[in-house]
Amino acid sequence: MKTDPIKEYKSRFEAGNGKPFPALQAEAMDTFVRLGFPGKHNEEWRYTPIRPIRERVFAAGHDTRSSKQEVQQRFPFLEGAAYAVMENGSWNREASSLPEDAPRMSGISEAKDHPGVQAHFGKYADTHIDPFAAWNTAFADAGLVIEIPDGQRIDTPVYVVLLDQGPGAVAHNRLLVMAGHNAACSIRLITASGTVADQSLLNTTSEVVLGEGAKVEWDVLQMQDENAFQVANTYVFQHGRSVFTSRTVTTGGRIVRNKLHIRAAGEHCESNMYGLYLGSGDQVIDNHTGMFHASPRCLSNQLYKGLVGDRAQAVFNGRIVVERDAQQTNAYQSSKNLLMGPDAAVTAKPQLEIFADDVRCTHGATTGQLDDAALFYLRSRGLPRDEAVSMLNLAFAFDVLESFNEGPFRSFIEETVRARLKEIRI
Amino acid sequence: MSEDQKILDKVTQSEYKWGFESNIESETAPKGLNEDIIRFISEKKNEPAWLLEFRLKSFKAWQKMKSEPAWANIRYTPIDYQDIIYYAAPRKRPQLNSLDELDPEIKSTFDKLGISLEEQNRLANVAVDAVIDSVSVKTTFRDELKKQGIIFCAFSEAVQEHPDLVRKYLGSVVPYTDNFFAALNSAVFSDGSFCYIPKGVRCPMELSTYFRINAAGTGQFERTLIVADEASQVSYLEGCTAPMRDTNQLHAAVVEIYAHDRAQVKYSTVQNWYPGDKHGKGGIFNFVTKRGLALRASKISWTQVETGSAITWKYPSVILKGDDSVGEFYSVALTNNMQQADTGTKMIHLGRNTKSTIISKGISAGKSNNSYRGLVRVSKQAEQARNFSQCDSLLLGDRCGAHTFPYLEIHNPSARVEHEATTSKVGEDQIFYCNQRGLSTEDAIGLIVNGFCKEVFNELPMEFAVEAQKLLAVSLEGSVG
Amino acid sequence: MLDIQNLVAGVEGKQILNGLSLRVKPGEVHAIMGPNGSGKSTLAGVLAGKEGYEVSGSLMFDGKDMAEWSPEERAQAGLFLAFQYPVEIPGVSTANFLKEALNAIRKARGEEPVDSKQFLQLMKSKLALVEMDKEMARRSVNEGFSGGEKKRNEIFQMAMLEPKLCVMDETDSGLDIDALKIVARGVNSLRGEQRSFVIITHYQRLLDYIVPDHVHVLYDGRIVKSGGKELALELEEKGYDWIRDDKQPA
Repeated sequence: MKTDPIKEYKSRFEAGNGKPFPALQAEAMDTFVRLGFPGKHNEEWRYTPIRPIRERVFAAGHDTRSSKQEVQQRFPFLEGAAYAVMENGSWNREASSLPEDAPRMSGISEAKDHPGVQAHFGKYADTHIDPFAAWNTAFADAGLVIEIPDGQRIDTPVYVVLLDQGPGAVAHNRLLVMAGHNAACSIRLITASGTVADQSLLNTTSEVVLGEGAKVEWDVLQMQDENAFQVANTYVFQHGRSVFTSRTVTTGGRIVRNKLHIRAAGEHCESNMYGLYLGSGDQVIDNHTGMFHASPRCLSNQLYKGLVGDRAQAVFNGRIVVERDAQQTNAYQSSKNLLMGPDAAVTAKPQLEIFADDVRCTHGATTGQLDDAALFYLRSRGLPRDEAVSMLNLAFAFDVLESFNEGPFRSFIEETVRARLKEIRI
Repeated sequence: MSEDQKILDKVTQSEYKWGFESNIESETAPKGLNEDIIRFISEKKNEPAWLLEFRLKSFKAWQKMKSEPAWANIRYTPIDYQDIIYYAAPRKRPQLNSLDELDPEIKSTFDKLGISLEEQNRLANVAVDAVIDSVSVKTTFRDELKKQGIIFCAFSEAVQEHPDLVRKYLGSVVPYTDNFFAALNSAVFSDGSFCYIPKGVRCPMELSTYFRINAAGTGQFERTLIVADEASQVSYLEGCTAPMRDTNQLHAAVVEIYAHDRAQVKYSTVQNWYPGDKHGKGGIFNFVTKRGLALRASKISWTQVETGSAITWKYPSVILKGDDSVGEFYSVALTNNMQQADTGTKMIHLGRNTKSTIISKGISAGKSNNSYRGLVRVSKQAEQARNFSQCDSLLLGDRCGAHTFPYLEIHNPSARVEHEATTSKVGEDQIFYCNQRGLSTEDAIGLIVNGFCKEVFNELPMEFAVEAQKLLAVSLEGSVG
Repeated sequence: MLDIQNLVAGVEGKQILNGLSLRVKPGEVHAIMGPNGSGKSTLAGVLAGKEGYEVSGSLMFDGKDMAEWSPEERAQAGLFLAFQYPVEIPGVSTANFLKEALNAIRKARGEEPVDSKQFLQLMKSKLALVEMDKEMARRSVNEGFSGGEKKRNEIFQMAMLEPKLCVMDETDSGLDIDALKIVARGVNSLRGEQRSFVIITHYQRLLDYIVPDHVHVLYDGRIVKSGGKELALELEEKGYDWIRDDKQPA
């Protein structure tokens, strides 16, 4: 008889011991068992077929550990930088590099009694309704805590490399970022497949808290192998006058589901969300954003762009909620897609839910093709068609790419995008 | 409360003017729904066996569905389907073509509503089918239309006189399995309008149906079927009102439009069912399924002005099946006090070179909630499909909600789909500017709101546009003394 | 026509007008000149009854105290403000807007509303004044208008509504010389024995075309100097620093 995956995960949970947050995690496991994996009838998952994730039993993990050299070779921009490697869901300290001026990082188990961790861990994730967040929480034993104390502004970015590892393995990565009052930092996540990865799943849940006046940049590059899976849930909580900026570039992975929820809880917050996704082959790339304006005089801005070819499917679901008290909110959202393959599909679902009257909210969504006139213009100047097409595609992606700060990381992303664009057939 | 809020309260709280009740003697079926009731309705209408069978099949399908769709952004107390009267008819049934035999009370009811049933009093270019509760009481200009081969009559009459046409098209666009309310309607529908425009004929006048709920405790389940044969054209209008009562009444209608090749159908609605009082007591629950099927190079255009009903659940849609077909949806939805509206459209692109346009204007006042919900689907074979959607919301006051839920599903790379949505309020600077030119704040708001809706009003036939503007004005103005 | 005595006005606790007095007789044209921040736009707003100002002092219009009047009551009594930044009202055509306004004013005066035919005739004659074509009146109020078109539209509305007192708030700002001439020609043709103008401006150049009877210098929320039209030229030549220096104690 076929094993019921969820039963298997439950027994795995019960066999584990030394849970850092026993009550919370047991409750999360119960929730996961109760909810199960979402199907088509779940409005949140209607356009995202996750059968390959739902039907297999993912292995518990793999002990392959990358070396520092391997990691730096693969991601040259890490040389000399502060970075942590999370491999198969836990911190690979040997491969990591944390100079003295890097922000304080600790494992969740060792930091569990820290008052900040006690106050924030599990407080923002919607564990009670999201099965992947619940699943992650149940297994979040080896996560990472990054703390930036009040007033500390860290100029150099800190990288977190998330590697899946081992055939058919699931890795539950857990991150908690606490930026204190007027603290500032830039966090860059790279998700990629490890050397022995094969059809593995990264299930990541991140919670990011910004104190008054804090500033956090959250850059994400998702470049797993073409048979790998990823579910990334990110929950951001902003106190007044804080600025949060996320930039997400997705080039790899068979199924990638990103959920980014931001709650602007204090006045004068600013939230920026940029996204770029390149889909080819049988990729499914799903970005669900939720911008929750709970306080007056905040600004939010979203720009998501996608190039979708072959049989790839892209989903953008952008929800903006302006609560009753959130007067003088400015919320903007734009979703643009280039659809390039006869069997490709794009679903855009922008949503506005407005309960305050003195607001300016707009959303726009377009789906179309490259401009024929522009293509002709370039060709008439002597550019071969393919080159002209990639030039225009890159131009389409440009306003998301240019939102990244200059430097080796941005160059690396640009190179990755450029190379990927060549693979998208039209 | 701020000064602005006081002004808004003043201009957004006025009385429903169509809330009178007429003393018309009516014959009703017992409360509740079962096969016997369906047989009773069918028998009352002397229906052929195939139609009874259609009703019974629909009833079975409805029973299996168990519950109402839950995805809409509306909240209401559950409907007790056994506490509704499914058939009510004025007792004195007139011979349908003789005005003399019409109950004078019915005639005066329609006079009060501004709908004259006397042909000589009507503007010459509008034919009216008047429906009270479950039955059609009078259709004007039938003979004149008949000369051109146009059939315009009560649905129940069409069943008797044109059974082949009705049988061919009934359920062809909205199958009885479509949804909970369509299934219910298919089981118990009482009357409505039927319209057939023959090949190549351009209907010389506006056709219209005026719906009036009168009897208490009843539901209204009308059914409208419009068939436009090849290269024909018709413009169809629909209006509705109901008495003020403190209990909710259910209205679950189905409208089907079948547009053959190169046909053009324009369907306009001014929906003004009783919305309930300002505390949300009473009012019509309006759950309506409207859909058109567009064959090659045909065009179906929906225009709606929705100001009434406690709850509106309505998505007039077009299935763009034929190549080069066109679908349009123009909507103004105004909610005030405790009203809730979840309305929009579906444009399903199946054919090549199909085009659709969606213009939706939502106005929320009081404590109401107003949602646009729309689907644009470009299927894989729909080459060169085009869609443009614009959804604008205007909020009057800070206790209402305006929501936008578009779904854009694109499966063909040659599609161009654009969607825009904005939310705004009436600007203080705009009001001051109008004041400075001598207009009162109340007039200024009326003017600005009408301006906001202009793109939609432009799509309405002239007479209706005037009526719609007045209706908005009345819904917003009124009580400033 | 207009009699302002000791006008004090402020917004959110900040006092902007500090005891301004001004008398305008029927048929007179008064120019009020002042540097940025001297209170010019506040004066225009206070005269038109804009909300949000704390006002004291006496405001007499046509012999009546208008201090408590709403903006529309002032407009109906014959006060017209040409806005520095005319407001856009999408979906409402200028023609329709003006018809509503004209009839609201007529109603307040106990006059019959004009019918469509009369209105169109009136409109046609007034459009010519500011060299606007009919098409513009069909467009939504100020929506998508250029700066010059907006200002011409203000003068057109002034001509249509036939006010007693016209307050022009920086009507010349953002106008090129051709548009300025058109606007001035329109205003000049509206001058008459029973109609007065208060022209609020930063620069003298508008006054080359609309010649004022009196010129006042507004500084720090009060009128610090008054004179004939030559005062404007003197100001242009010497700049506002001259006033500033002048004000300094010897």
